[in-house]
Amino acid sequence: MNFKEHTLTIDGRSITVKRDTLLIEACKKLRIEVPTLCHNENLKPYGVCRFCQVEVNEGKRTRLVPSCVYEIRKDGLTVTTDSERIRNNRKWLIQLLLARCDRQKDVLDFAAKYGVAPVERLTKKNDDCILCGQCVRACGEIVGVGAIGYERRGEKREVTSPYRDQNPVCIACGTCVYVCPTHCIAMTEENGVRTISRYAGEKKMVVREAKMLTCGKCGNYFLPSSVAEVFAKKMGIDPTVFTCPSCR
Amino acid sequence: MTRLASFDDLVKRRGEIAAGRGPNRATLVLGDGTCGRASGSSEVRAALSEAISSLDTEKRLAFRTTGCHGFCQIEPNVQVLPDETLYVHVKPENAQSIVDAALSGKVLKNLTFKDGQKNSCAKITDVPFYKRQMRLLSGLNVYVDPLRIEDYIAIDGYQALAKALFTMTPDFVVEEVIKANLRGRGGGGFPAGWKWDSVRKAEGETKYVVCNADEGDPGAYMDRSLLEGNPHLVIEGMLIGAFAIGSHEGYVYVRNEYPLAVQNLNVALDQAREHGLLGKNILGSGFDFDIRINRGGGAFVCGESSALMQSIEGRPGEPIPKYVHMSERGLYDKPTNLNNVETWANVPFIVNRGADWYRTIGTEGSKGTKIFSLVGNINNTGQVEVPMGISLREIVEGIGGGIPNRRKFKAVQTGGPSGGCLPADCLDVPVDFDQLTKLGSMMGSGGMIVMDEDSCMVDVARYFTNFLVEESCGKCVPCREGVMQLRDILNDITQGRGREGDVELMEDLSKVVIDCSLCALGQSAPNPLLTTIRYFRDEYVAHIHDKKCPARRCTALISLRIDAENCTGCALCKKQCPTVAIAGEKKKTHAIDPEKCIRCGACYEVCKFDAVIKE
Amino acid sequence: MELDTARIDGFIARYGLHRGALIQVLQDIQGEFNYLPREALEYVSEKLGTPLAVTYNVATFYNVFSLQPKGQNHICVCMGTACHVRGAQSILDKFRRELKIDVGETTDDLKYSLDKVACLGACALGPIVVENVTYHAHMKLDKVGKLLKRGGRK
Repeated sequence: MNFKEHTLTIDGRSITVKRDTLLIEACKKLRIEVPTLCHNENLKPYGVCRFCQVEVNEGKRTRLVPSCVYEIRKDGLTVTTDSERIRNNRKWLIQLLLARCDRQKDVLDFAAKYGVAPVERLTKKNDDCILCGQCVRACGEIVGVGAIGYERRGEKREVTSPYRDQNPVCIACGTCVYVCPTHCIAMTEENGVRTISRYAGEKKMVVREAKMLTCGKCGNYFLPSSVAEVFAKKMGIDPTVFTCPSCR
Repeated sequence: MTRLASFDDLVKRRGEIAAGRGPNRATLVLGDGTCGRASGSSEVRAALSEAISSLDTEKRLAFRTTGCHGFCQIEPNVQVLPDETLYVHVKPENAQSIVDAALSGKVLKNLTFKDGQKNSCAKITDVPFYKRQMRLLSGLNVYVDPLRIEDYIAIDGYQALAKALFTMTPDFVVEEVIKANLRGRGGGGFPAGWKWDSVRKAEGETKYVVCNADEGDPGAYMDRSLLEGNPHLVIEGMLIGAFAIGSHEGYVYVRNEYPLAVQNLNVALDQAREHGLLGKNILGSGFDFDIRINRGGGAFVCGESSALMQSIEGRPGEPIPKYVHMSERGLYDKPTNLNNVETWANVPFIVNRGADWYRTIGTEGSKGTKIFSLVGNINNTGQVEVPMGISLREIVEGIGGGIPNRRKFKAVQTGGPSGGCLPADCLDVPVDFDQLTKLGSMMGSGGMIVMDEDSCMVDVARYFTNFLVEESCGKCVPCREGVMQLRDILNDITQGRGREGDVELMEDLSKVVIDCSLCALGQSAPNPLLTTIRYFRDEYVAHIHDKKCPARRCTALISLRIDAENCTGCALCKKQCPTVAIAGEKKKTHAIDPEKCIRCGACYEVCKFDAVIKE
Repeated sequence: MELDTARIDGFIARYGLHRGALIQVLQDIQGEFNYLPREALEYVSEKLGTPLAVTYNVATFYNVFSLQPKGQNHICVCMGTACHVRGAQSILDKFRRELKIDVGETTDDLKYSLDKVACLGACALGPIVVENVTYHAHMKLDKVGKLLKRGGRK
């Protein structure tokens, strides 16, 4: 097996890592924080928010690379994580997101953190999704059902369920809700039914309405039966024996 | 027996085909590609077939239908070989006279091309459009019916493949291509030989060879002409490349908008297989290779190599960030060599005649010829093939014949949506991979769109930027949001809502889009905008400050009125007006109501008396 | 709608039962039915082992596919650069006005659908409009009405 290692310099500090280590991980090891919006350690790198771009000098030239997808495969790289150029780019990226999600709290907080104000001249859109793709990727890679995906392309690109209808393969586990950085996927529970939904344009799009299972002991609702079935299948048992956390 | 099982078989077959054709045989060649058919070549084809079938002259006069001959302006066109007589704008009723003239060695003066001074140019070599070209690749179209492999074999087709398989090693082939300095013709200009070398040396048994026939640049159709007209040339190039690299599976990715190219390529692949030139044990050499066709789905972004491969894998054509080269991890994560159609088409020439010969054409850094698609406001529209290093002026004026309707040249757009617009001052620049880039544009895949003084450069920037917004995959923030914002500001400017500071804002945002976009679509998206600002800044100032469009093109900034002096009251404009904005009695001066007028321009277009004025 | 699954199986057989065949199979379905019926997408997803969300993504990503039926006369206006400088935009606008539909839509009676295409590669003959498989070269504003009248009579 190939356990080759490479040594590189990040912001003047040296570090040795295993070959194919992601540059953002190398930065993390040195406790250098690189901002990202689409990166999630549990998911395959996506590289679309472009916030994690850093300057890399590979010997001949310096170029900007997204550190979340760049694999270290050479010796002697020199990396700069903060510069005038990087800061200017990030400022503009935030301004573009502010124009897209001009009222969304998480985006406004993110902008405030970097001291960036909106550009009045840009076209405003009251969207709540930044298209980081974490929900789609988590559903596909971790949960494994791929209940939601993208629709169309370019400025019309959106995250939806197929045909914007309920998708029976969704198990209402709520993973997409948890990973979303702008909290734009909603999960509600009412009258024994859990609903996963979000807004598509002005209309509410329901991804799944799933009946909740009641606890065998106390009779309270605690888990969608669809999720219980998945676990039960994997463990080879009857799903109705599950009890809620308080009764365990 | 059809199948060729050795180098000798190929040579023998070539001889047999030649023997079957009378030595003094005249041939009528009809251009029947997409352009030809759109001009009516199908009817001409039927008429010529009939006229010839009634003669017992298979040995004296042959009839061949082919792909594009390059001079699309004058289609349907018929060439008479070997005399090289050219007939233009041929109609079905001309068929009999053309046949009679060919048999008696005469020339029909009324059907020949007339140059600017109304001289008759009977021979192709007399025609200004063709005179200065070097039609190395495209010239073969005239000799080949794409549906007949015999035609291709007759002109030494597959000779290069046999030469490579039986007299060269894969390493030697790669060295020759490196020595020839064949650079990618799809726009990137990367040395093909180096790419081949990396893939050859990559680890793994399975390697892929791919042909990029997505040709998305609007206005560019060189690849369509090559694939439709001479698919075997491209197939042979891919075969040689596969042999050199050690690949046994190839793909041709053709955009969906080229149905005839897909059709002809399919037939060519089948015929090549029947003849033992594709598939298992090619020409008895022991080398296996076959090709599959993948049709695009209508997405410009699929011309980008990683998006193209995603598409072949059945996914949306979304580029992926790649910091490990395609030569190591490409299609299905295997080493892959991707080249453009025209790049592949150059390969058989390099193998047949040698890298040293190839290097005699072109400039120091750009060897060989390049096919350009010369279109727009130009007299001679068509496919132009010239040695690299020729000047823009030679192409636009010498070959293109200048601007029609006595208008003046304003700009030439090169490199498609990744390129830029160059003004008259730049006309003397030599055209090759590097010179145009210095001026802010690029040679790109070969699209060359000429614009006259009636073109508004701000509108051109808006057009390209809007195109890219619609074609963007939408994954990354800088392209999806940034290019869209640029488009919105350009919409404002062309509709009279431009503001002070807009140009500076667009310049700043453009830098970020170039720096941060995930793929080459976003990274080059601001080019049309930036070159028009660089060379035509005054037009932006006029639109923003004065709310005027100097070219009188942007409908929101112009008004239409009828000139009483010229108006004859024919009422043609009134009939065409969609909003009933024109009033007037028969034979009396008409008038446009500015409140109702939506400035669609229908009246301006239809008036025969120059009575409609745009201001 | 009764889906002809045998027909679809035939398309799949052409390219092999693997995910890479998805786009080619969908193109055959689009060619056959003039659009992609929902049942067809669901059937293909199952057969190829792809989540419906991915198939739906492919179906909505590419211009060639439509989830709604195309009209009997499918009109495509070329909006390539060469056609643009020769006035393609005003021709497209005229079609929109006459048919009272926008790009990507179909008339209620299913007679006409209107689309634009980036470039057909026949730039010498622009502006070009394709009606089904017929190329109309050198299009002019006053020819638009004539084209539509002829189409209606079919």
